[in-house]
Parts: sequence; structure tokens; C-alpha cells
Amino acid sequence: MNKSKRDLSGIIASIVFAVIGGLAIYHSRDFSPLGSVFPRTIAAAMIVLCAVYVAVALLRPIDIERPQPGSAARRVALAIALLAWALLLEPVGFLLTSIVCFAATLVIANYDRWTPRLAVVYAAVGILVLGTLYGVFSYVLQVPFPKGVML
Amino acid sequence: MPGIEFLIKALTPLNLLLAVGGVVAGTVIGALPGLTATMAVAVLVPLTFGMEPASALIALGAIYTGAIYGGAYAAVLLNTPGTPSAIATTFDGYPMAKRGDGDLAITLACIASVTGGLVGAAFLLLLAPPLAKFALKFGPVEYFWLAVFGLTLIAALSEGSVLRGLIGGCIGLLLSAMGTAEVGGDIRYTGDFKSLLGGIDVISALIGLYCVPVLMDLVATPDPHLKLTHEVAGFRLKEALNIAWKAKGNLARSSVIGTLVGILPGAGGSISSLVAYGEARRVSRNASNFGKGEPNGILATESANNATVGGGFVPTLVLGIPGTPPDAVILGALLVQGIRTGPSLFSEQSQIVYTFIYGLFLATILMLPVGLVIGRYAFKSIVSIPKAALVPSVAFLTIIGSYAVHNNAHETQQMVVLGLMAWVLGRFGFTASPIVLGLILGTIAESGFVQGYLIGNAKGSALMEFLTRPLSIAIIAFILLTLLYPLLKSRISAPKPPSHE
Repeated sequence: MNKSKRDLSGIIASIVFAVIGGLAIYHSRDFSPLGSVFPRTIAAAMIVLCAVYVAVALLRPIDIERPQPGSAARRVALAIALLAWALLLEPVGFLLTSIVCFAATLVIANYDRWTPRLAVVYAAVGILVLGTLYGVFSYVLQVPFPKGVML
Repeated sequence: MPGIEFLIKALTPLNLLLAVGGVVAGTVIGALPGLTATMAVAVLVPLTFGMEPASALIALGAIYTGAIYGGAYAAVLLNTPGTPSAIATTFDGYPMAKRGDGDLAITLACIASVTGGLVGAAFLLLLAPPLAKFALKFGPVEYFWLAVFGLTLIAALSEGSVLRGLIGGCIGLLLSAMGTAEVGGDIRYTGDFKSLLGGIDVISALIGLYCVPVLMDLVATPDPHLKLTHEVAGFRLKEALNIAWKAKGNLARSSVIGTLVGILPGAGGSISSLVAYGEARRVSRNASNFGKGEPNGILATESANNATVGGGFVPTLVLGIPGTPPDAVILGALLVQGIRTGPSLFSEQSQIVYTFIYGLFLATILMLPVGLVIGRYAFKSIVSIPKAALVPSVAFLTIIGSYAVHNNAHETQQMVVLGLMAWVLGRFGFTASPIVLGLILGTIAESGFVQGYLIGNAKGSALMEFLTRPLSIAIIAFILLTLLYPLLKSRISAPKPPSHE
């Protein structure tokens, strides 16, 4: 449902982006003239756009679309699972990390009551998906996946 | 019609088989997020080295055109463009899928892709040399403005306010500046992270910025991923053909836009589909429906991005300058085959060129049955897979896809971090599309900007160099029109009583 009010989240985000733009200009002082001209120009343009956005948002209320509701705990759990997946695939090994993280994301996404049948079906799905894609990428496309602890 | 005898040569059983196989392989690869048309062509190009040059070209053209079409599947069914060319397809494709018309959206995408592909191939057949001369008129300054035009278009077209879109575009451009600068060689904004020296990979970023927010919202509720309002019994081909016939003007215009943008080296399908989408919305009587599941939006973007295939071959074959990244791979394959591209190619090696162009027609036509069948099963699979199986499967695809780009775990980490950032920004009303396009166009924009700046300074005024060239003025006019048109339209229509629409 939309609600007409001041776009506070947009104002906060614009201020953050303006600060990032300022930092981008500040850090470009060590670059060569050729290397700094583009990021400086873009950062300056971003600061101006953010200032205009804040001014517009303060002057007139707008229709704000409410973000999609839902379980914050599951979202956080998924974020942790994805980060762990990306960070551990090199030290632990691609296949082992993928098996564990695939299972974790499956548990996070499941809303049905766990039964032995459901567990067997999802385990079979996991083996099929992981096996097929890993096989195609590893053996057909010759992608050298990290072996990690499985060396 | 030049060289009708070559059409007969293109119709050999082997060439037909290669065209079908190429379209199937390209469509499947293009449908997987992370595997782009460039990768599809690059991975399969060694298979063509032992073939006759014309047959090899037919296979590569079929893979390329199939991959561009395949990008629409993930865009429609997962809100994740399979290839950068399909970014604008998400605008209306996913809303259609969410309301239960995903099968119709896929069929429309197929019809539009075939139409666009045929128009692009026709331009290649009939107008290649003069079109290539037009492409040469674009200098660095024009490429800079073209990139700005692309960003302006996506800011104006994507969900949310234009200002937020423009800020998002700037974020994308700043992200593209990270790593080692192409001009000057400076190490920029990497902190102490050596993994950022190579910058942010566009494909990994594309996967993260689109896929991760979708996954975050999928796990948050038990609601089904897509609605299914009817039994999936057919392709809804008759309905789609009726819609496409009524939108024939849109299809023709978008296909021509796709071809013309395609002949500009480096511009590619991501810009052409946006330009076509913007034009379709501007002239439509139902402009307010765009972004909410308007079939004309899909017809515009998919016809434009497939027309880019034929358009991109124009500078590749006539000038030896690849029009799009997959063309660069195909150019390499041509050199391996001993074919020297250039203005004389059409006269000196006409047999190979014309057989290839007719082969491209053939592959595009074959895409209709092949694409419809694959599309139907893709739709049925996605809607019938439970969320608990879909989420880890898509998550695994994002991980494996981002890793496989350069066999680099750092890019997978970038993908996840950027994806989480996109989800947070989405909560603040900033959508992923302008950021992604900023990242894609950052390199073109920066090299055009820096070169124009240098040329302008050498002439005495950088500003005049950017603002006074005739083609630049034309692009700037389009940029202003894009930004001001909604404002002017609302001003013009303001005094009138509310219309019946």
C-alpha cells in the first residue's frame, strides 16, 4: 500500500551518497589528472543530484511504496549463508561448501513441515542440481574449482 | 536480393543441424544467470575451428542469437536478466509472470526476438557498407554522450523517481571506476583489497545486484514465487501473435533501433533495448501501464536486443571492428578461419559472407519453434518448483556463475556483497537497473570522456568539444527530451479535464 509522506529514507540515502561522493573526490587527490577527471566529475554530479533530491523531498511529500514485508530472521540467515558460501569456497573447497550451503539455504527457504519423504525428495533435488551443474561446469566447460580441504 | 544462390548453399542438412544446435545451446546458456552471450560464443567457438568457414559462422551466429533470446527467460521468470541485454525485459516481463502471464510473456519474447533478429539480418544483407560508414562518425565524445543517454533512459524508465535513477547511475559509474584505470593506469578506490585491483566484474555484479535481492524476498514469505492462473496447456501463441500484430509498428521501430544501436561498436543490446523501450512507452497510448506488465514493453526490448545481433555484424564484417562483445569472439574465429574482414569482404569472399547471412536468417527463423518449446518447459519448471528447492538452486547458480566468469572466488564475494547492498538500497527506493547500467557503461563513458577531454584541451576548450559536435548535439537533445518529456507532457495535459483513460 502506498502512503503519501516525506521520503525520509530517500533523504537519508541521498545524504549518505553525497558523503560517498565527497570521499570519492577526496581520495582522488592522489590520482593522476587523467585518472581523476572522470571519477571527480561523476562524484560531483552525484553530490549535486543528491542535494536536489533532498531539496525536492523536503519541499513536497511523495507516495512511498512500502517495502515487501516478511521474515527478517530468514533474510539475515540467507545473507549469512550466501556470505559463508562465497568466503569458504576457496579454503574449504567448492563442492563441500556448496553441499552445506545448498542444504542451509534449502532449510531457510522451506515453510512446509519436515517429513522423512520431504527430506528425501529435497535431498534428491540437491544431488541432481549440484551434480548436474557441477558436472557441466567442471567437466564440460573445464572450470577449475577450488578443492580446498578435499585435496 | 544479393546472391540468392547462397541461400541454397546455406540450406544444407549440416548447416540446418548447426543452426538448430546453436540456437538450442545458445538459448540454454543465455537463460542461466551469469552465462552471457559472449561466454556462450567463447565457450563453443573451438568446436567450429574444424568446420567450413560459412558453417562455422552459421553455428556461431545461431549460438549468439539464441543466447540473446535465452536471456529473456530468467528476466521474465526470476526478475534476473540472463544477459545484460535483457535488463529492460525485467520491467514488464516479471510483472506479467507475477500476475500469471509468464507463459504469454515468454511467447511474446520469442516472437519479438525472431522479428528483431530478421530485421537485423535484413539490414546486414542489404545495407551493411553504408551503415558501417555511419558508425565511423561516432567519436569518443559521442560515445560518452551515448553512455549518458543510456543512463538517462534507464533513470527515466525504471521504477521510482528519475532523480533516484540518476543517482543510481552515478553509483554504478563510480563502482566502474574502482580498480586499475584504463586511461592513466591509476589504482583507484581499492583500499587495501588486492582483489579489487581488477575492478568490479560486470557479470558478477549483474548476477548479485539482480539475483540476491530476489532471493532475499523469496525466503521472507511462504507465498508462491509465481501465480499460475490457468492450466499451462499450450504456448498461448495465437494470443501472442494477435498482440504482436497489433503492435507491428512498435516491433518495426524497436527492431530498427536495435539494428542502428548495434552497429555502434561497444554500445550493444543493453542500450538498444532501453532506447526501444523508452520510445515504445513514449508513443504508447497506455504509457502508464509500462513497468506493470505491458506486453508492448517486452516486444520492444526483445526485438531490439535481437536486432542488435545483425546490427553488430555490420561493423564486424565491413570494418573489422566488433560491434558487440560476442562479435569480438566471432571476429577472432574468423581470423582463425583465414578470413580477413574489411570493406572488400563482401566482394572478395562473397560466398562465405552471404551464406553466413542467409544462415543467420535460418537460425533466427528456427528460433521460433525451438524457443517456444524451451520457453514452455522453462515456464512450467519454474512455476512448479517449490520455493524450498528454487531458492538454493538459484543461489547455487549465482555462486557457480559468478565464479566461472574468471575462475575467481573474489568475484563471487563481490557478487554477494553487491547483492546485499542492492537489497538494502532497494529498501531505500533505489533500484538495481541504473546501478548495473552505470557499471556496464562506465568503461565506454570514461574512455570517451577522457579522450574527449584531451582532444578538447588540445583544441583550446574541452567544454566546446563536448557541446558543439553535430552528433553530440543530437544525442544531448535526446537526453534532454528523455528527462523533460514527462514534465512537458504533464504540463501540456494539466489544464485539460481528466481523460477517459
